[in-house]
Amino acid sequence: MIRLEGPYTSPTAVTLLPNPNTEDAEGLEHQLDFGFAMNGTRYTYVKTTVDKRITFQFENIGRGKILEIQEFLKQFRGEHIKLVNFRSQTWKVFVDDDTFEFTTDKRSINSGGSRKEAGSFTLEFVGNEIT
Amino acid sequence: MLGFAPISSTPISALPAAAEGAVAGPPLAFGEAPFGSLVGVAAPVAPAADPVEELAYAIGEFAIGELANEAASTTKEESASNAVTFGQQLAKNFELNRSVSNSITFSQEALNNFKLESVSNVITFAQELLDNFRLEAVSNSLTFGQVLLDNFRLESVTNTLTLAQLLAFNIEINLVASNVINLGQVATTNIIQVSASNEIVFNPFVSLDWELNVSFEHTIQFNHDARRTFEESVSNTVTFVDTACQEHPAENIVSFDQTAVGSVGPAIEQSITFAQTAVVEIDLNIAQSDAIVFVQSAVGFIETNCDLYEYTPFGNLPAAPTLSTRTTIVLDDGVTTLTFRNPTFGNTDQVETFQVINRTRGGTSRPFASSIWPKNITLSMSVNELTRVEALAIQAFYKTNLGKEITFTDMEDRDWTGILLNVDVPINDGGGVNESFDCRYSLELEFIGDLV
Repeated sequence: MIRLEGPYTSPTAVTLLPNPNTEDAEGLEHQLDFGFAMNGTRYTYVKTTVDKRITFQFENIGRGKILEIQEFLKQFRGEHIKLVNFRSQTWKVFVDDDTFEFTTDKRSINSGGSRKEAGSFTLEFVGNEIT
Repeated sequence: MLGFAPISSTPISALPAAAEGAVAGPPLAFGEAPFGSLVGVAAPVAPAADPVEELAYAIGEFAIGELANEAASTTKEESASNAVTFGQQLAKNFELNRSVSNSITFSQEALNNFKLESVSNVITFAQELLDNFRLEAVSNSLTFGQVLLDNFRLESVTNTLTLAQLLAFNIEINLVASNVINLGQVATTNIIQVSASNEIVFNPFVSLDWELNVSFEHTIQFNHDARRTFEESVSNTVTFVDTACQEHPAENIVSFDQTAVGSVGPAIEQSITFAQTAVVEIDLNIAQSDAIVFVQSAVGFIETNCDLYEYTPFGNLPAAPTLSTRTTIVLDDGVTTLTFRNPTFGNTDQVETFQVINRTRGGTSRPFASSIWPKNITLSMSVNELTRVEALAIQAFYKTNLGKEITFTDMEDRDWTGILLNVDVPINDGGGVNESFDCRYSLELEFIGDLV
């Protein structure tokens, strides 16, 4: 289960999501620039950060939950939020994207809502784990 | 400065009777004078045959002359003051057996079996400074002492004190203007039904044209010592009204300091108690109530109350929308209404928010979004198997409503207002696999708007 609390300090809203698909990703946010001199020497420029980018893909999410996560994203854009992932790790993150696409793609008996329809979406967060 | 009518060394009994206020009749003993008279020991005393005896009876009238300081229109560095001076100059070679003292005494004495309505002393100090004076300090200090002895019935004990300080324009004050009042009232035994009250009103006012580097501070201390059984209540009522202009804070600080004198077993507690007690068998027509509202807010959530699929937020997210099932979607511009079958699966809601992500030199991310920045939702859907008549109607509808607000009712029976986006290719022709099959057109709908 994924738990989102916003804002990070003194949260006022909580949203729960089922566990994401197995294709979740946790990448670094470092920057690497490199170039070549005229004689072939390679030069690099590295900028490191404590942040990581984590990506969750959700499928078969009920239509009601999709509308709920839409409201959550609209309300806490531009703010740090607290994320507790399925490993019970607590992260301080923000939503990096400006545009989120929620696709309603199937009927599902356990998806809830009046139409018993479910959808999929992808969320990307940038932040670091709180130890 | 100040003029005193010269006091003759002649015994007072020999003064001319025309002197206003003079005490006529036989000589009075020292300290004896009718009510309201001013009693003092005057000076100077000229040499006489029996100086000691003459001084003892030097009782009479002070004729206070002009208290005039003519400094209204000129600039002086000296302070303006009125002074009443009791000066005693004793010539050499005199031997005095009595002490030398200066005093002003207001003496009001009611003897036994007299009922006195009120005893009051009113003294008003008024200091007024006119233009172009530089004054270091303005201060009035006055002490009232009233002591009531046994067996008197007194209606009220009142101390009225007025400290008026009026500062005119163009005066530089480097000191704090302060009022210091000490009201001490002591009620001794055998005083019945006496209420002691202190009323102090601090009302300093400074014109906006003044520049003062000092603060206004009022310190009031109420001490009620009611160790005997009084029929009257003891109460303190304090009202603080602070008005602070511009950026300066206004604070009211109330301190409760309780001290128990003597052998007291339990600890002393500081508490504020609202207590209303109704005696039994007394019929009250008014309600008795103590209303204290405690507002407690807890930030947290209960996971078991949140469903993983339904709209079940916790906190200040909007309430769950009302969703129902429709078999059609509707486009309406107020004149024309188009109704189509529900779109195929794969319709998307695209939520677009705007935010700015800044990174510090140390790599810390700082997201920001203003609350007024837009939050758009774009609905995209595809409706298949439309007839050519419907396709032409859709094209006509698009042409009529380019850039105009229309109403869209989706398959969950939610009404939206917004505009159609895909004006270029709203209609797709499915091709001529079977020319006789007319339902080969599809509608690609992109709509951006807000829920009604």
